[in-house]
Amino acid sequence: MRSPSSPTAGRDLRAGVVFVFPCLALLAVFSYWPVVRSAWLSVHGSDLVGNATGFLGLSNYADLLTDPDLRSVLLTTLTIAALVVVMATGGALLAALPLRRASQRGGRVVTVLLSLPFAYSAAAASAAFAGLLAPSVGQLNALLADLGVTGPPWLESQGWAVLSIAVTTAWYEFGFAFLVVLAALSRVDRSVLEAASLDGAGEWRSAWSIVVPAIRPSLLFLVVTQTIAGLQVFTQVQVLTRGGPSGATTTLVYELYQRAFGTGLPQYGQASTIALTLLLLVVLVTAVQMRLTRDRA
Amino acid sequence: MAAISYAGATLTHPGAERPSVDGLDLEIADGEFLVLVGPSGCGKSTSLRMLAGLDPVTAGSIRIGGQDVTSTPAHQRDVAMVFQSYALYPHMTVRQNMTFGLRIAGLAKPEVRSRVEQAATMLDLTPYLDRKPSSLSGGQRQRVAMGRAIVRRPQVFLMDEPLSNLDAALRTRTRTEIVRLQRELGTTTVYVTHDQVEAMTMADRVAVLADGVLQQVDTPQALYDRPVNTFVAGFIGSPAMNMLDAAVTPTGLQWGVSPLDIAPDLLAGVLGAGHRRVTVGVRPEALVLSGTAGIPAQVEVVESLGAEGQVLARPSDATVQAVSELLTVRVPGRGLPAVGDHVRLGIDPGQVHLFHHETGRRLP
Repeated sequence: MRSPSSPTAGRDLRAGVVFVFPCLALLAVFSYWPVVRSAWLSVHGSDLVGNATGFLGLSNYADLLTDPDLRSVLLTTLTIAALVVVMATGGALLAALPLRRASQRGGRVVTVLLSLPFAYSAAAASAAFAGLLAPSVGQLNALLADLGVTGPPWLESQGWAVLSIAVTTAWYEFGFAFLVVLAALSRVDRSVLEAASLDGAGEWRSAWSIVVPAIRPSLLFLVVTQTIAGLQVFTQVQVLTRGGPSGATTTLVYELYQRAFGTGLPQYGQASTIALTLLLLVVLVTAVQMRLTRDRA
Repeated sequence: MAAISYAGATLTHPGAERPSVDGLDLEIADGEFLVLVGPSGCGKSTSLRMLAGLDPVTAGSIRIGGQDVTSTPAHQRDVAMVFQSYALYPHMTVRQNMTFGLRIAGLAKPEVRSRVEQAATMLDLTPYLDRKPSSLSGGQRQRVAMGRAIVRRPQVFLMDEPLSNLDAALRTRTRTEIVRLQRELGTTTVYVTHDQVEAMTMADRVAVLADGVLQQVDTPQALYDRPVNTFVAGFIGSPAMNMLDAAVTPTGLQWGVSPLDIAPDLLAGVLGAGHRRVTVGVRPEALVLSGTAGIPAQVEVVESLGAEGQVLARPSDATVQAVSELLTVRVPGRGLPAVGDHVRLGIDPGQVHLFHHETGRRLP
């Protein structure tokens, strides 16, 4: 065994540092430094170009919790994230389960069709939904009108607008979730399902009692990634509603962008507070997932 | 408990050139222990899965307890199965594994508890009831799989090579346990194995399959004593029966330069039927090492098993050497010959089996 202080070990260490340094430098410049800078700005005031001014303590954080507008933004973001998780992960599970029994060829065609949203960018998906849901000229309401149904004001009503943003995000996330669920299902031991069937379990009982627990780690992974995606929604809001109507669809990232780079006076300190709050939320969700996964193992 | 009936049961997979199971006709009595045996790919597991409702029946029918279940889904057939991989529910405890089917059936809690405790005692599983399968040994998992089947009290037990993942000693012990349990419960059982020793030691009757076709179904002893063709003759019995391709002459059977002793009525039969060549089957214990008379051969391998031994000898006759494998002789464990010894192999004429030279079917 090689001693840590041997010349070879020293050479290995130097080589390791040389190889890792470029990556670490990039991370430091583009990831770690902005976090540190945001943390610094979040407890200071800022001038027009983003330099920290007077120390404000935690007042920006207090505002986030007490300012009704910011509280509403936080609530909207959490609502959208929850809806995205339910629709994308739940929808993927519901869509993938029947495919276990589909013929190989038919199954492949459906798989390709259902996973297609994965290939879209968020902007393209949002543009497609804008065409469908746009007031007056939206294709969806035109189709409903042909069927004799008056469609709802998808993007003009506060509740419908939040739902529209969530549906657009869920559709965009669905393709990935579907592929993950499908891959997880393919690893479920067939004989265990057959044993359940012989134990008298029908399709739904088998799915609920055997399949879902078997693919639980994959579902947990999806819940986390979809939650993070839901918390970070920006493009959909920018393309579909620009935060409206009356700020009903303003999410944390959209608000952050508006405060830092929007049309009004830049409020870098408050924007940094929102960014750090978002980061904390993501870390929290990830920690919970890791804890749940570890407990299961 | 119920009788089982396969009537022309066939499964042809889409695009397959020939059926996996071809026109299976088989009657299994109520309470019987029937073993389906055959080499890999013979259709034995498929036959079992068709009975369970896990594989479809594309022609013919299957009845359980007089009821046609050909189109009945697996979860409505009231059969329990022990899988080769045990197929335990990994996220459930042993107790939950055993109660899953009972809870679906809607049994009252006291009844569920009573059945689980009874089965756990019977299978020595009580200390493990709250453990997950991942923390159990192979033998314990096998017993849980058995327990899961037993608590259901189904009409039929199906077992698909349930011992193949156990080591030799545990396999022998569990084999005896399964037979004891089956006798105790009296439940009709269909058991699949590729191991003919398991088949012979466990079954009331054994069904031998090859290439999806039922070859013979009979008691283990009858299969051994009167195999219907060369396949069954070669498959049942360990070591396998020696097969000699012999010419039929008016004075007897001739294998190369060696005359083969067979009973006069057998010879009369093949002569009367006009056969010119026959396949002669001789079990290893029907060959005796003799110093003077019989087939001349040279000992190539000697295997001592303690109480008995096996001698593998190559015939010295150049005219049969090219087509013949080594001949296997079962001998007492004491006084085994040495490798290289020249011996003569005498045949017990009363224990010779004759088969059709081309079709392999038993004569007469």
